[in-house]
Amino acid sequence: MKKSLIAIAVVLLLLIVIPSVTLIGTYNNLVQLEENVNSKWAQVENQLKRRADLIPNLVNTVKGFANQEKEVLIGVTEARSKLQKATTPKEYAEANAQVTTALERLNFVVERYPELKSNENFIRLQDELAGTENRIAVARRDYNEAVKGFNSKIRKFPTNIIANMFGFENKEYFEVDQKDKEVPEVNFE
Amino acid sequence: MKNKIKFSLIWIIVLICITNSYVIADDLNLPQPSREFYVYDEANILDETVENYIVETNESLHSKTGAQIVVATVNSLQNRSIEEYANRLFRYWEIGSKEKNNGILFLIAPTENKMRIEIGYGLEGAIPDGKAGEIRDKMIIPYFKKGNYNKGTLEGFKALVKEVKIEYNIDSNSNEHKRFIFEPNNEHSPQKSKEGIANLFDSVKKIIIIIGIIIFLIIDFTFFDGFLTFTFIRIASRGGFNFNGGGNDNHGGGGSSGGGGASGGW
Repeated sequence: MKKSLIAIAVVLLLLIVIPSVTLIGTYNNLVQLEENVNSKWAQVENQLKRRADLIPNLVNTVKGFANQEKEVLIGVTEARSKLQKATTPKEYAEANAQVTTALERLNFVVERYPELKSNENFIRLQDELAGTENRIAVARRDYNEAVKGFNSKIRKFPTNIIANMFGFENKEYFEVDQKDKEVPEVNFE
Repeated sequence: MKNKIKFSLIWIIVLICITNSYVIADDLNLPQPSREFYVYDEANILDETVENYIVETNESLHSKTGAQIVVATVNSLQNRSIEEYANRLFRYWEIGSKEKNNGILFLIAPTENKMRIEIGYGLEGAIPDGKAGEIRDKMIIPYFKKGNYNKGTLEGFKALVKEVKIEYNIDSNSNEHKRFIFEPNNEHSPQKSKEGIANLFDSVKKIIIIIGIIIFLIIDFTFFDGFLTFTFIRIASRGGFNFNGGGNDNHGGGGSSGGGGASGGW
């Protein structure tokens, strides 16, 4: 008699406690994962901004030695302004890819100016830019991993029910569409 | 009979927890740090005197600033870029202190003729990429080109130490006079005891959890024939549980890096 009463009490308790604990735990976990995505994104944005900040300096240095390469320089400046106007991860990624292409062109042109190539200031700027590119790569990897963790979490059962309830949505990856990735042919003739 | 079932169930849960904590990200095999931590010479290109110098300098530097400058040589980058490999290795070894992220990794891959100086977050101001590039161009690459790995590594290492000392206001000529703010262990001992308490709490927490599980199992098996336990095991095997495995005694201070520094080839 006594034994069955305890059993009923335990069942009731577990029926209430387990679902609510699961709910709270899952919700908090989702909030944490989302925060993680946001902070990783802040890193990406920081580094992209840094890259954009370095460009005017680079353009000015190159101008001093190779002012006739206007077209290439304008390309770099235009790509930079696109980067500054971007708002979503995808836009950022696309603008960033354009900056990369423009800088590759610039580096190609620079080969013709040995004086510029051995300029101390230019070498340091190139190091800073390379470092920033690498930081973007790291920040991007971290961000995409965070997004992957978050997105797969909110799609899995039973988390997806809770995610739906509280309006958690898929996050956008920092990546370029495959068709945009094709680098335009560089022709200097 | 019932006892046997309980025991085997506990073992199943323990096993699930263990296997879950050993999930390895991908196919990149990063080496464990060496016993001395500061030098890892897999490619076997460094003399013992150089290695000893690096270890000794680091021990003194670490006691004063918490900074760590690790030199590593590897036989293969496993088809990764040196930038990615260096960053992964830096984070895996956790070079530098956790609060300051003041670690540096000087990675040399003689097979690929590549090297990289990876700077932790906290030292990016002291050694910006341009500075790291300058050290690379002036102190390291000229020697590496001639095949003199010992000299290049030593000069590069010394240059990095110098920059770190400048950052922390340590006069490199007066190592022995402890007249500066950074008294040995001054800032580290209180932290260690804090960590000790945290560890104690951690283990107490673990014990409570284990006791809780045992009580739960007893109730469950007495009244429900283990229905709840089986349900939980099913949830857990989908990846719900995540126990952190034991700590690594030989890793760095918990520092991280975000891709700062400079790399080059020869």
